[in-house]
Amino acid sequence: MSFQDFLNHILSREGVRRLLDAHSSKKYTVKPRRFRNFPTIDLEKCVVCGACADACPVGPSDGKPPALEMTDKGPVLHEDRCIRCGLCAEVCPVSAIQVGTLHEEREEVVKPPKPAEIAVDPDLCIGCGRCERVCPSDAIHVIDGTAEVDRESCVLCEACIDACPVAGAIKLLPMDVEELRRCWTKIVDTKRREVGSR
Amino acid sequence: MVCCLLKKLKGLIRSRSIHVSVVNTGGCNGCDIEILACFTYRYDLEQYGIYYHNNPRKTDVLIVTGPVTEQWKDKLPKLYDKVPEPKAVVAVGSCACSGGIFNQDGGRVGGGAAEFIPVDAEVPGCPPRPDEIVKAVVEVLPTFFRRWEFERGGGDGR
Repeated sequence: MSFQDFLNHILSREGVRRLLDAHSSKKYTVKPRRFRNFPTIDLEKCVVCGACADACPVGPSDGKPPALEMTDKGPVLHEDRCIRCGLCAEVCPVSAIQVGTLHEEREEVVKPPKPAEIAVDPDLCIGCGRCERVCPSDAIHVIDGTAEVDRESCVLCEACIDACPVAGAIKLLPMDVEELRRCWTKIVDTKRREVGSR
Repeated sequence: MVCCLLKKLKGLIRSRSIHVSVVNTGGCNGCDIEILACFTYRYDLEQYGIYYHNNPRKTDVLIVTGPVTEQWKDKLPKLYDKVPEPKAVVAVGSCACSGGIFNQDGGRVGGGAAEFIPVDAEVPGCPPRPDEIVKAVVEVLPTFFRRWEFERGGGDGR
């Protein structure tokens, strides 16, 4: 900015206004997207159970009310006592109390691809059910004399392989390295796109 | 007429050069950190002409954080007397407003700062956000200093 521009700016209406009104903080008082504010109480929804006042950690003192005081008409918030802990909103049975959240709600959890899978050979399986008993995640079940694996809940602990009386009936098949790499690239790309669009 | 104009000029100049000092009367330090954040780049209280000291002799605004503990009960009024006129006191945080979570039945603190010294502005929250503190300091106090010559000061006792 040249000196001429600077002078013009000072002498313009906007410049004079900003020079005289330096104390305008309106730009800085916008609440962020994730912010735990003072609880807002919806008296329409409230059932006056008193759970919020019991949960409130700020108790009364001589002359000072508790942060959340229970009255006949419903809970009353005293802002100068409140510490914004959010316990009242947690215990409310009808969610009449709202506080903002500090954390982002995660909608879908991205599961990493499993590096291997448990495969059962139906010709060798005798359907004894030992694998079903030892499985810690309840992923293998004997259906019609043959064990079947639920890939979603399997944690690849190999307990079924140890328990199986027939050698080679249950096998651990590692996933193809190329396919694993493709899965991971896809996940990383989607995450990167999410972050970029934010 | 001239006197009034002089008072107005004094108020205008005082409202644009405010010196602040912070006193923690036994709080948990959370509000102090938020006040510190007011002076960082994002909020930047100095752009409004507000400077930070820790010397009560030089300040216009005393920011009190924390509940007033047993040891501070006599020291806080003493410290308040040391601040030259015109002076304003801002209680930042629920502790300085009312004693907060420390001031319960069986607590050993003496309540908020307002019970010991006159408080001009209160910022509730535990701790309040920096922008809430900025709002209190920037919007309340310049008006206070602009009016001070007309309301409290202006010759009597000086």
